[in-house]
Amino acid sequence: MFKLEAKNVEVFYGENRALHPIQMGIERNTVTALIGPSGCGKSTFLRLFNRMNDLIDNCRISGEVLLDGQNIYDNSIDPVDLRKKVGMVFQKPNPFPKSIFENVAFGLRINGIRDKKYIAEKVEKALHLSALWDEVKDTLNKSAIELSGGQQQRLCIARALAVEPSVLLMDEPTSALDPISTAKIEQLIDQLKSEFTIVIVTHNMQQAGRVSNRTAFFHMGELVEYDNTKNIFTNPAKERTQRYVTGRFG
Amino acid sequence: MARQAEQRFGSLFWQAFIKACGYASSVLVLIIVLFLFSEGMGLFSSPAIDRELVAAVHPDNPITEIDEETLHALLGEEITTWADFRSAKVELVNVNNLEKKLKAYGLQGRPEDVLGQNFERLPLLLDSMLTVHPGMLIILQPHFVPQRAKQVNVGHISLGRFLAGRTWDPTRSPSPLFGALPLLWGTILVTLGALFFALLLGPPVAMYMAELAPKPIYRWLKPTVELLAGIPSVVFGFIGLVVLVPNIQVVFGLDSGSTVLAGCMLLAVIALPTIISVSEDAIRAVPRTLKEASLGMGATHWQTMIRVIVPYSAPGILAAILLGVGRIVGETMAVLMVTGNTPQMVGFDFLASVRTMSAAIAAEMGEAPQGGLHYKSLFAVGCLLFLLTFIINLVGELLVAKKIKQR
Amino acid sequence: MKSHHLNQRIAFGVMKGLTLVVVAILAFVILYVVYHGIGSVLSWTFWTDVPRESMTSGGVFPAIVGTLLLTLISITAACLVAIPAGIFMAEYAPRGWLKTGIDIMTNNLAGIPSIVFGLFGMAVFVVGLGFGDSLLAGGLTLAIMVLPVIIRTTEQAVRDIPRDLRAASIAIGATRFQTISRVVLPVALPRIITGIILSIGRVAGETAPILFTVAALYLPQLPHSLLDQAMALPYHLYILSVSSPEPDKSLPLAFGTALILLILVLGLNLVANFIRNYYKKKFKL
Ligand SMILES: Nc1ncnc2c1ncn2[C@@H]1O[C@H](COP(=O)(O)OP(=O)(O)OP(=O)(O)O)[C@@H](O)[C@H]1O
Ligand SMILES: [Mg+2]
Repeated sequence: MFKLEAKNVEVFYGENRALHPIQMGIERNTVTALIGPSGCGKSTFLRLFNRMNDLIDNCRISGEVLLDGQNIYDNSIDPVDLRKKVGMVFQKPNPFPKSIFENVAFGLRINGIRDKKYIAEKVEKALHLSALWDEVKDTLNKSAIELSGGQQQRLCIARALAVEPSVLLMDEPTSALDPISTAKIEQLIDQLKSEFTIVIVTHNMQQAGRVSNRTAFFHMGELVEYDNTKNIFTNPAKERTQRYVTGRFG
Repeated sequence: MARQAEQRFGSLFWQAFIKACGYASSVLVLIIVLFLFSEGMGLFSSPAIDRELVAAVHPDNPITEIDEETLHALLGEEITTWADFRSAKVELVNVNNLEKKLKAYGLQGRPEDVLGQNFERLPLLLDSMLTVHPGMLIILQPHFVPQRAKQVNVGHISLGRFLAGRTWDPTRSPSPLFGALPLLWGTILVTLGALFFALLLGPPVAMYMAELAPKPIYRWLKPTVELLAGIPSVVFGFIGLVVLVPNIQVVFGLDSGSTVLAGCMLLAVIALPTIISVSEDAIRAVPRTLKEASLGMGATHWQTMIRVIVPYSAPGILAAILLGVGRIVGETMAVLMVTGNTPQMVGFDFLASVRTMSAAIAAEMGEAPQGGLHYKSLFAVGCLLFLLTFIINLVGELLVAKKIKQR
Repeated sequence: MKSHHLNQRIAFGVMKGLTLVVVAILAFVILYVVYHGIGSVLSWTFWTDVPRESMTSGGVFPAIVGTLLLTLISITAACLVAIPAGIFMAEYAPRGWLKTGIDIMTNNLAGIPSIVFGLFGMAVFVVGLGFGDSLLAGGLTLAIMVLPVIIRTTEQAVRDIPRDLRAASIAIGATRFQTISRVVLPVALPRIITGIILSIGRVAGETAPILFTVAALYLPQLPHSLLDQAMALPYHLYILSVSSPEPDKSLPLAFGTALILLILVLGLNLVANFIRNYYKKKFKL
């Protein structure tokens, strides 16, 4: 069984079709990269998995999206609960203007957890996971806004991990960061894949090549090709993919 | 699980509370309109004489109702004979001329001595007078009216007389005059004058702040304008009283410096912050590209301002002015303190003394017995004031909203 | 070509000059009041004493207390309703005619002249609900007056919270209400507080709404309950300046009272600006 699966999913914004019917399965504990030119629907597709599209007024979705075999658009599913299982990291680091500790503890607190010791443990664990612990362990009460951009992004990852999701969605998580911070996050992704299923949108071909097991190439709302990353970059089946990965359009 | 349920309930409660509060302002406006108008409109369903008085005539007099118009004509002695009653001569008896009439009838000495401490025997006396003067019209407290006399209804105060009446004399007895025109005109005159000064200063200053002021200066200018907006109007009124009024008196050689002019100057200052801030926002909303296009064609900054920025932001600036006018019209304390407060028709004399609508309410409500005609008339003035500012502000808001939609 | 530049120079000079005029007006008002009022204000008894000898000597203590109480009552009452209302407008109100309607009504409320609020307060609180001339009636009247101001600032503050902050919270599995109460509101709070502080200045300085709802001409003893009348600074200033039996003797007291009002407004503005700048830096918004 796939960890995540899109079954004939279509997305419309008002009258405009953003995604043509898409069929795609994602294996447990893998990193899947979504690539494609701007506006091709990568973010739209990614947001399907935690129902963030629900927040957009005129967005309409048909088809099924399965998480562990269950349709997450089923009426019985509460999107709030779903999002606890499917974490998300955004393009621009968006820590809350609270302390570092409170940022990571946020997800626990909103679940009504008040046990201080438990929270402290989970926060530390999440910060370890996101490789930030050593840098911030003495300044946990400092405002998260004062961290560097790269640290902020890792904090956002820690924040997402603290509620122990099984899936992590990342929408261009390094596009606002410098190369060193980017390298750190890529390293982190590599470590996290043993525990999480990761889907990452990226405009950076090298990044997709470095971090992902499988790559999906989108173009104009269509899933053009979906294969092992190696194949996509060295021996794509479709010409459009070939042209894109070699930098001839997009 | 229980914890979650508790949380859910808590949030549901708060969400309901938030939603309920959301309607607060709407409900309040409706309640305000309701109360204001129910009190104010009461004026127009009240007889045109004081609440505690009645009008009475000879029982054979065929008249059953005196309308407002006729009443004032009778009181003003413009009508001297009863047309339907054998052309009998009108003989008016009311609180003001009671003593004189009694003397004329032949009463000797102090009325108290003859009629009793509380005028207990007055009705008897009036009864006999009624025989001698069948054309008598008695307007007195009911218990003084003789049994034989016939009470007549007095017509209601009319909206027309309220809006177009040129005399505001709400304490005149027995029949007060509620002509709101002098008050309305006072407000209009003060507003026009204030607008003159405010227009002289407001838009240019807004233009300077939005377009020219260097950052460091702007950083001081903005709080300055905000501070000006924060100063209570009673403080402005006070300054006007001790600075403007004496100076105006000296400069123009008047008996009193409490004039429309003083009010105009103060109100201009009070309206300035509104006009400046809203205009500034409007000017800042002009798209950069538009400005750059003009500059790029070789127009000077000034030409760009006049030909591109001003036309583009004109609706916004107009809205700013309207909102400023809204403030001026409603302003109370400052005008109350410096415009002299005399309810009179003055034409375009800016050196005269006037009483505005707001000042009338503030000055007279303290003395108006609750529920009486005067009280109601001040509410009616309040309604008028409300409607006036409502319309002005609405047009202003619509202009602002339209501008935002265009963007 | 040259004449264009000359025009521009003249025009800009005029604009600068007019701006100076506005600044000068403010400076004059402040300096004039400070100059004439500082004597009174520097004397201790002015702050602590009651008005004496038909308000030609003594102090303004009861008026200060009255104004403080009125402000406290009105701001508390207003916030209780206005902050949720602002949140509603920013977060819950569906777009469309309903929101437009409430918007128009709120703007309406903001545009109603303060004396009309006074009328309303008298009809409803003093007479209708039978509070009589009292702190409660006056406080509630003032509360209604500042309601739209606080609604607007709250709405704007909440609306200006960056989208991705909300998205982050929602994406972790926070409900909408949790997002509002734990992320949006704390970040918006400084701005809301700034708005409230400026409203305090407005409430403390308003005269018209309290004329017939609470203000006492002369009442040396302090109010004991919400249903007592009270003196208030702005009304006291009004009385001192227009109906003093001996205007010359009252004048220094009037200046002193005006100065207290100015200090209050100035102080509140400074605090508001400080909070604004401090949090702007802190939250990097
Ligand atoms: N909220 C929205 N309302 C209407 N249309 C939208 C919305 N969000 C996205 N779209 C449209 O849907 C299409 C796909 O957008 P999407 O954001 O998924 O692209 P993307 O591949 O993530 O692009 P980028 O690489 O620039 O982030 C685009 O044509 C876009 O215009
Ligand atoms: Mg995208």
